[in-house]
Amino acid sequence: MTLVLFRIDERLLHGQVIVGWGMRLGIDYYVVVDDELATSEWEQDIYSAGLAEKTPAFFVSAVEAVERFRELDSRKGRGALLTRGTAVMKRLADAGVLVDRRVNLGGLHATEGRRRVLTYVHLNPGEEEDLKAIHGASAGVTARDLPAGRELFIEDLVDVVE
Amino acid sequence: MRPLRSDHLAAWSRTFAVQGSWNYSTLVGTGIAYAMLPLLRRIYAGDPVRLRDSVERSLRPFNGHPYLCAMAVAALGRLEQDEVDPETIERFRAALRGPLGSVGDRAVWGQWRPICVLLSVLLFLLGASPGWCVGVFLVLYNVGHIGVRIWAYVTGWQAGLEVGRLLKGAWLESWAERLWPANILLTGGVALVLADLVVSNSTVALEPAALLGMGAVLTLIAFRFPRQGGRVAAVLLVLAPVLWLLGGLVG
Amino acid sequence: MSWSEIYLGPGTWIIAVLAGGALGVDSVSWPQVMISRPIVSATIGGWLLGNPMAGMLVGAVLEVYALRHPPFGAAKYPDTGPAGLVAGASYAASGGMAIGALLVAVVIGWGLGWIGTVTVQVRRRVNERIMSPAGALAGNPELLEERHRMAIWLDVLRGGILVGAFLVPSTLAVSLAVGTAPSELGRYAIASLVLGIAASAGAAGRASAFGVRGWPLILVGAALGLLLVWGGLV
Repeated sequence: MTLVLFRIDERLLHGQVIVGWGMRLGIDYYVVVDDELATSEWEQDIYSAGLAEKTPAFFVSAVEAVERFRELDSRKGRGALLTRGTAVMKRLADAGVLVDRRVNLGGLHATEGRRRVLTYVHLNPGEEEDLKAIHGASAGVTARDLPAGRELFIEDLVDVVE
Repeated sequence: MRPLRSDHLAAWSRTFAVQGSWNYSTLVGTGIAYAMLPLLRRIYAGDPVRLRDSVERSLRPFNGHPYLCAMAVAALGRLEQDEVDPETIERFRAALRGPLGSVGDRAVWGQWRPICVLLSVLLFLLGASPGWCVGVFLVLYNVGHIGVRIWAYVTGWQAGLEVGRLLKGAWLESWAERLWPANILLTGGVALVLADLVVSNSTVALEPAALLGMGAVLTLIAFRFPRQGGRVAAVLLVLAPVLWLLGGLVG
Repeated sequence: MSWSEIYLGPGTWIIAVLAGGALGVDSVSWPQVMISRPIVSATIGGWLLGNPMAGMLVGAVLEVYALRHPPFGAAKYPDTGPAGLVAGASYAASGGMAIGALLVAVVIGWGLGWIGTVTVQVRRRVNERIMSPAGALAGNPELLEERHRMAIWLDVLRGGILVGAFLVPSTLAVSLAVGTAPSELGRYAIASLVLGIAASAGAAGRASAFGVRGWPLILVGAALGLLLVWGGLV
């Protein structure tokens, strides 16, 4: 059918995504966009170990994701696309594939240089810029950790008005 | 130096306390370091600087199902012994957090624990003595619990970086998928027999057929909308003694 | 039954507090063998007051409620160890016969479970202090071990305090309900608990289900339960 969830989450395939979102949205396949993971088999094995056998995960590089977007977007069933950070999602947005899609901000945790925006979202200035760019090139960015949680528009979190 | 059998035993038994200092900044990270110490002390014997570095790495944030953390403790210990570079170890930790949580949650918290609990309650409702019910529950549950910890530790140590391959499609997952229908059947059965016990112990006249019908409908609605159903259940629970005591006062 | 007939001596109180410590630490910190489940903790409470059967009945009802709260991810769930003990002990102390007392005991167990959850969260914040700064702990593994064990002992203390603080008031509250005579409203009280069990079972069943497709099974289970009841097996 189509990719129904675009999510930025450091932890990629983990409980919140697989159980929280996956079960609610009925996700049939996952696309993980990450240059390092795309070439690391042992990491792919671990990340996909939490998935049910009939739920595949495809690990692709950012370049490949743009090139193969139509194919990845038209597979049988409902899909979720995940990136580890804002930069890769911005590359997809820049390539114009997110125009009519909403982007979900799921989990970016506290590290040095990041400021706390929500309990599960911490951003550095570069990431805030990325989100503004994604916001402009998609149907919007909203933060929500779990489907049952409150959906917060990025305008309320980061000043997107130039 | 290679850890000895006694070091492994010490590390494994410390995994029972892996959540002992669970906190919001490193989650189970400090517990992982605590459990890994017997291994790290042997691996870096006589080299305090490298020991310090390895403990520092081990203390970083981690999360996962507590029983399956035994796999993380062993696999991370194996990577330290194999002198895998710190950056790879960090990536390994980041990757392992997800599946150790979701596999363990689904299999242990989602299936094994409820089925053992429900069997114990059913035994009680069938008239077994409390000692038997508690004994059967604790023995049955912990055979599974300790089995998972042993399997997780041994697998983690043997596989190191490759644990993903062994974790995917492991017996834990296939068991979980087989157990869930039994769990739901038991939930329905236990609830009905327990409700019957409450009704037959009460000294007031009730209409069992009406209660049964309403109960069935409510069960199905709560199954479809568990959050709302749970709230309704909590309200009804609190309402029960309030009505009883109010009745006592008025009557 | 009057209050004067309940005997909860200092010896029993001390044993209950110690047991509360063991049940409190089991759930999360060590060793997670699930003596903290209500079916065990409430039975222990009942046994301490001389009526394990009464404790187990409270535990069984609390289980149906607790089962809908699996500790998935960051989900909150009731801390059932000390709470189950207090509820089971209170009902056993009241004689373990009066249905009104059962209703009160179960609510106390449930409420205390959520109070326990708050104390668990406070302890997690305290742990944050105990286990920092990371640099000092990394440089001194013995200190790390000492602090980690201290955090576990704090959890023992937490469970003991919960039982110590709530056992006597809860026992008094439950015994208050013993003397109340059944009334017209009493019918609705029992119906309320029965329907509460039904709703809770529905939500609990969903927690084990892989999606919504298992719904007919819960009715089949209930039908089998009905056969057991009609067959006189329970």
